[in-house]
Amino acid sequence: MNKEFQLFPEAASSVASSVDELYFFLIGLTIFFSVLVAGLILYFAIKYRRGNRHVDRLQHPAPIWLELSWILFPIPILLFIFFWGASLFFKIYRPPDNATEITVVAEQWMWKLQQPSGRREVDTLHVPMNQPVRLKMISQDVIHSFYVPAFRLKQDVIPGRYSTLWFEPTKEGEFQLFCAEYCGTEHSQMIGKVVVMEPNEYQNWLAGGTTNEPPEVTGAKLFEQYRCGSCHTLDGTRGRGPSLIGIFGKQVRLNNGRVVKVDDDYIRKSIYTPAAQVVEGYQPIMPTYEGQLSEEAVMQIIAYMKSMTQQAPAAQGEKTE
Amino acid sequence: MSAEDKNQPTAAQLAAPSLPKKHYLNSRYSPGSWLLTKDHKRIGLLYLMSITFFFFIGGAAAVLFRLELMTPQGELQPDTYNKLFTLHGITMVFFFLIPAIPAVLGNFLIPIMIGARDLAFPRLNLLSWYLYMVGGAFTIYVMLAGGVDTGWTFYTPYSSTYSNTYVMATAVGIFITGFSSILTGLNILVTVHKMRAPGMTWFRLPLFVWSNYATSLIMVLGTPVVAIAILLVAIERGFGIGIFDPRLGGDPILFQHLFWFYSHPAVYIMVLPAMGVVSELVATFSRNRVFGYRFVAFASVAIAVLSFLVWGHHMFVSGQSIYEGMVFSFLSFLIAIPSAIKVFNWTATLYKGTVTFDTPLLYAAGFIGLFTVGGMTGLFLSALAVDVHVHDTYFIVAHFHYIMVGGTVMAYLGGIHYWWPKMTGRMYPELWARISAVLVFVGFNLTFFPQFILGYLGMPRRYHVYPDGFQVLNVMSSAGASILGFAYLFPMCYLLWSLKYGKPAGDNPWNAIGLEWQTTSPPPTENFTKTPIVDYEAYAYPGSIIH
Amino acid sequence: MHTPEALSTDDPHGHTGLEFAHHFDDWQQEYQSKSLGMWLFLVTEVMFFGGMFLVYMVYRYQFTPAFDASSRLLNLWAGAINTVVLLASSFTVALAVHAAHLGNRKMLVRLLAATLLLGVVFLGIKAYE
Repeated sequence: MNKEFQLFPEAASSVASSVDELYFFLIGLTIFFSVLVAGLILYFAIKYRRGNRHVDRLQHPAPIWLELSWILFPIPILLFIFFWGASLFFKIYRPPDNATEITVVAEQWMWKLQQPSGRREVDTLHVPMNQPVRLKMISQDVIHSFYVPAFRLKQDVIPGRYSTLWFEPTKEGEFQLFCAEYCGTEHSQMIGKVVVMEPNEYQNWLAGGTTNEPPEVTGAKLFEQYRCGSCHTLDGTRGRGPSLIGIFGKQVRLNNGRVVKVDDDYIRKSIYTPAAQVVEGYQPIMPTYEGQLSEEAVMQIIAYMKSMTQQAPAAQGEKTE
Repeated sequence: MSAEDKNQPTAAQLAAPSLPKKHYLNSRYSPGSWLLTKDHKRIGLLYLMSITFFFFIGGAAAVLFRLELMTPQGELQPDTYNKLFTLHGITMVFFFLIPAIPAVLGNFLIPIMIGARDLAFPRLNLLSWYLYMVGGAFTIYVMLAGGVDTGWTFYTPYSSTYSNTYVMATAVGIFITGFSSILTGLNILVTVHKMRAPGMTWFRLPLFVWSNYATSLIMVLGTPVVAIAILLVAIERGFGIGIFDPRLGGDPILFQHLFWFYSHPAVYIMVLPAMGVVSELVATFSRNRVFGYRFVAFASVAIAVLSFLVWGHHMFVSGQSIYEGMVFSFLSFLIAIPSAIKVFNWTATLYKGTVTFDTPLLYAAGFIGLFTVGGMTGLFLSALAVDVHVHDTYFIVAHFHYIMVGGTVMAYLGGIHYWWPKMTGRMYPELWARISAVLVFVGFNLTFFPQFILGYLGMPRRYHVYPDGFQVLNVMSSAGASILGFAYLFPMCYLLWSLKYGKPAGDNPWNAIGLEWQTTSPPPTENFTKTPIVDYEAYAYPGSIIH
Repeated sequence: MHTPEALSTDDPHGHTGLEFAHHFDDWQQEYQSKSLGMWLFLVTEVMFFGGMFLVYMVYRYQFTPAFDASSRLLNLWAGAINTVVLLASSFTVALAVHAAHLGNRKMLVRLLAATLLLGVVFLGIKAYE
């Protein structure tokens, strides 16, 4: 992996060759215009050099269409590039629904990842080939950026808010992972690899971990350990706080009138800064768990919340509107 | 009195040009007459000395880290490396590129080019220089005390909470220097509006003046925003108030918006004056009016206005919504149009002109070629999908160095050579100057072209160690950097040499058209013995036609 | 805009009448330049404080209850007195400009000193706040 000299990176994701196509088009355009401009300058400079008497220097007023032509002529080209780049960008940013979610916590100066089966990794990410993967990422401290050149993809990983990156690897092998946002002393060492395997090899690898507790199971344990149930019931009855059964994905009304969706960021915020968003009809009495629950722990609790949505029987949940 | 008569050299001038008896350099000699001067020409020279000093500091930092990058593992401590690239960015951006052309050439030439005796506010001009020097002193202090390692972009929360280096002192220094920039811009705007000589209408102004005018618009409107951004970082750092650190309730992306709202227009502060220089050089050395004068003038202002609308293209992968990305991508493509207009117009200016290959034209031609490449690579970055891959890699580094070094620095050197006879009364040695220009061009391309390839391969910015496969290209780049660094020393040497031994230049060594060539070289303190009256168009070379 | 009729300067040759700095052609040009310069400077102040107000507005929207609660911690009297101090200093400096136009050097110096004093008071109260 990057041990040998190369001039062009390999393409290992479903979007990589599309990005390369646009890139090559732009290279062609650049060569065309650079050669055109450089060529014209050289040609005119030599033809109209001072010593050259055998050349017609009689000037005529230039037609306005000449000026207009080089204003108008680039416009369709620019629009074309814009649309091409933008539509590919949409593809890059819209994960398919069946993507497997893997959580990533970045901190100075390492990557900590957890598979849906519970297996954890540091600085390495194992994924199955030809299956979409969605990374849910957050930073513990400063801004980092998850960058895999062979996939042609990167996404800044910021503190305080989740960011997402999805990809579908199309080639087996090991691919370089870099941190691409300067994050301090060991920024250059915050590197790793993405290991793409045949799907059955990946399953074998998954089974081989020592602690294979799925995140939602850990989340349930944390729910117990931190006694969330003392205020939040799991059977729909109202406690000191709203019942959490089936809460994920619901719309709730806050005490300031705003209606928000209960997503990853909402749950995370409720755990770290509960007073910032209180559901209507409840008191702002929830304590903060900042400093007690790590970002990974929060992600596990979120996984637990999500799993309840899936298993929830016909339980209504609190009518939070 | 027509333009042609004025510009034919007299027999006496042709015979043996000599220095005028009294001019702005020898009017008074005391240190006080320099340090307390109100003469825009002397202030221009004070700036020349200061920015050259900072250029070599930033350059020295570059030499050190390019040496480090020759091997994949390197010898420097990571912290040292991080401080070096930060120092390089800060000195080059704030203390060299932003002031260079406006504060050196602009200060010196704008009043003369419009037929005035000085800028509108001479004392404010001197204050600008002192503010610059105070800001510079802070930077030197930081450098000697242990450095700052945030990168010139100061992203939060690293800079506001986590960095253990001299962020506050750096922030204060840049804050102060920002006001130097604001005051210079303000001065230029008022001067161009109010102090033009009789007959010097807007559309008779040299394009150098138009460019600096557009630049000044950006300086005045944009700089205060980065001042507040950096002030807020200092406040958060000093008082623990949560502004950008999420742990304290802040939003790190807000800093990026505030920072890039200025820093994108800032890059146009760096390139617009360079374009103004190129317009002058191309006109003089093809003895032709600039093709499409009005279009070039309006394009300058259009670039200044549009520059404020595109800052989000630095943030496509920062977590902003894809719709924001699309808007900024679209606007970023638009700004290519006025730049292209200029490139085509300069090329057309050579058509049916009378071209001579003096050093300034070599630099101007270098600018046009390298700016075209740099500008085209900007299209790669405006294209959302490609930017995702190359953002924060060496591709970006190569892109902006093509424009700032291949563009601005070359135009700056071209301008220095072109107006050197006017500023000092002496000619520089032409052969050495041409050799240097070629060396700079070669060294530059060898340094930065491999970086495009490195960037697409995936080598991130601000890395002091890298995978082995990247070494060959890094070695090429460092080799180029050594040639470039060496090539920059030549002009220092021969320009200084020319101060004593250079041939006296006479009023108009280039036979150029422009008010600055109608006064002595060097000019008298009050610029003209009599206020000129202008009754001809800009670049009214015989045989050229108004477009 | 009212163009004052006379401007007194410390001219060593004792000239009276419309004096202007030597790099200007006439007094009109100097006055117009200074006005334009001042307006431009005000624009930069708008951009500077505009940035700060933008940050304020963003956070006020996100954390309305916190902003409400903390505004109750501000000292009403300090704010009120400081407002009066600020307005008074604007008044004294405007009078100072008037004195300058009339050539009344003694009043000009006194009014500027008063303005400076009021400024120091303002900062003092701010520090207390």
